[in-house]
Amino acid sequence: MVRANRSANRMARRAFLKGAALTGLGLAGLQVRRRAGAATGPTPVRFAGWAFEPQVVEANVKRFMEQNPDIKVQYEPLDLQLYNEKMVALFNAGTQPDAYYVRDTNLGAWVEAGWLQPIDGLPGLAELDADIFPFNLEALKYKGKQYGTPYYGDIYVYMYDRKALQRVGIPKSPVTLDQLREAALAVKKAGLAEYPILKGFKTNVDGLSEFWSMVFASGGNLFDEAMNPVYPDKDKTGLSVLEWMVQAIHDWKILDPKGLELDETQARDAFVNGQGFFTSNVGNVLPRANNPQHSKRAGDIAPTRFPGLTDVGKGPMGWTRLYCIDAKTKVRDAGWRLIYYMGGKDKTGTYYTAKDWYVKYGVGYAFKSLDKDPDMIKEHRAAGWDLDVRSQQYGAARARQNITATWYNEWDRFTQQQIQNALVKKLSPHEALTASANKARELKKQWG
Amino acid sequence: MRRTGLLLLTSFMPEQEALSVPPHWLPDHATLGNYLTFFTPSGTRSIVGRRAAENTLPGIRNSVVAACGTAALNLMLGTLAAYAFARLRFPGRRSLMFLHLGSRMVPGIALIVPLYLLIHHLGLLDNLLALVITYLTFTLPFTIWVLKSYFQAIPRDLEEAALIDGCTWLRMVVRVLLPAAAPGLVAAAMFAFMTAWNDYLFAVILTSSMAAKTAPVVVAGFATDVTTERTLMAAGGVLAVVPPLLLAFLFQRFIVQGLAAGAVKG
Repeated sequence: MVRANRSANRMARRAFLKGAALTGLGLAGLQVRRRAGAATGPTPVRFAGWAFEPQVVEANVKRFMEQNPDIKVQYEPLDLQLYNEKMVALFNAGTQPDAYYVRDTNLGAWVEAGWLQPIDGLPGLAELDADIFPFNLEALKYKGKQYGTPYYGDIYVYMYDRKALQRVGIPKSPVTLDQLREAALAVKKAGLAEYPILKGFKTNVDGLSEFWSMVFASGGNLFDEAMNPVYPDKDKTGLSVLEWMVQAIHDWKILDPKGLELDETQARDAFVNGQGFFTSNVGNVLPRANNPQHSKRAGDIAPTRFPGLTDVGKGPMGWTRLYCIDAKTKVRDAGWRLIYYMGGKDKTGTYYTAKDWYVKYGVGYAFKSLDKDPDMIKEHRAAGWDLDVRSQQYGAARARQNITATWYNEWDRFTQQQIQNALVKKLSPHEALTASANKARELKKQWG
Repeated sequence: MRRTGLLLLTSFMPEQEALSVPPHWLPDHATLGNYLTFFTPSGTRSIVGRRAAENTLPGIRNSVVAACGTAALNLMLGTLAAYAFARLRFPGRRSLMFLHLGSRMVPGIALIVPLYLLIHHLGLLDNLLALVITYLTFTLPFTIWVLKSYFQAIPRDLEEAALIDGCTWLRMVVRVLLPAAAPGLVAAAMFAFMTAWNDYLFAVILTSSMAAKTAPVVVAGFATDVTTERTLMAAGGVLAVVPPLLLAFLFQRFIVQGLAAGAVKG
């Protein structure tokens, strides 16, 4: 009886072991099948950027997935204002996306932190680079390696009221600071405006852009290749430009002192709505300034070559935003295909997203060949561009040498304050720029 | 007041008029278009901000949930803690009070990365509960301070009379103590509500979709690289002001009494 029970128990144990083994095998088989399924399904790519018109990005991403059914993109728009802070939190938590937007002002710091990976040698990059404006291409690189494709890139543009200049009998647009002074004085003399030039000098993200642009347009520079300041004495261009600005406010009274209380955004909106006859601002202002739906002076605003001390055929300052791939992504190839599409060409060989952004929002593109695209030519003309001026300005624009330095933003803000001090005559232009140059040296020493 | 007036009037202006020079207060061509945009965002004539317009009303809803949740939890936890500080004598009482207060001295930006990591590990990213917990850590010390002062101002005799009359402690709290402390409770709840309502930093970092994005985060989307839609932003601002304004009007008397008591009798 006992034996029979033991035998039955043994049988039960055997049956249990057999069942467990079969279950185990079954589960393992299921896992293998699942893995095989995962391998054949679309590769997931997490993609993020600051939320500028996310519905447009979503449409472009959808189009990418239609052209690349083996990739599934999960797009997440992040806050525009605190993008850097949010991304830093994501990096620290290890939850960063596979591909994302990067501002050129953050590129150096993010590379140094080990967050981005170079894309040199990836398929199609060399061909893409050959068509990118030099200032954009420069901004995609850090310490000789390329880290991204261009999301958008633009230049600072000098613009004026074409009708006003015609009324005072000036047939040509000003391309030097002397010509700008003469034109502004003529407008002032004709009683069209007390201060014909409107600029915002309140500290702002774009607050230093005109100064940079005037220095570059004059053929000068503020920094050497090693990011050492060459102003105000070794290269006197910056000093001469600031002296011109101070005289424009105090001696010739052509530059509106009210600009000290406005930032670039406010000055832009005031100009678009009829105040001032000359100003400078980001390139994407032009399509809006000449659009009757959004501007009171539509059709009257014309861009000119950015004025410098002398006409040396140089361009203004330009900047670039990038699409980059995360250093730790496990889907590098899929990530690259996505940023090649977003910041380059689609499957049909078209710069689809770049064109889409420009047509919809006037957001600048980085590709030389698009200047010859009939659709874009139509848009440029509607925006008020002379096509030759446009090509010259974008082709000759330059990136700021120290833009990738981790200390750039601190130096930029400090320098804006020194320029304000010079404009209100608290400091002489030389003292203001010396303080700025000393700050750059100090920061470089501190941060390396 | 002038700023609120300007916000309100701007919300009824077309964008061009809001930017006109010289600026003017009263709209020449008053329009409800900015408000209607929130209901039919696809019909917007603005340059940017369509997504922000779509998300404004859901964002306000999320703000209401986060702010009400914060206020309710503040009252629940704050009342118990404040009563203990006001009535009980225990070692470290004073130090603990100052520790609570000291926690308010730490700037939010310094906490943002560790807080993000913590919320990530809790699996609460992009969740309104994460916002409520976060706001609670910032508002609870103030609530405890206000209510402690308020409870101390209520005579012990009231409590003792209720207990002698046969109330249990809990019944005494509900029937006697809390009604007597109503102004303090309302003031503390309003402060917690407003703190949660106005937050931008934590909401921006801890949320990523409309599952939890609050009104300040959404409305900030009207300011972009290309332009700022001032009139839409103003209309969004007006809508976002309505709920706290209504609450403030409803409880105006309590708020003033509550805060004054906390300030003077502390």
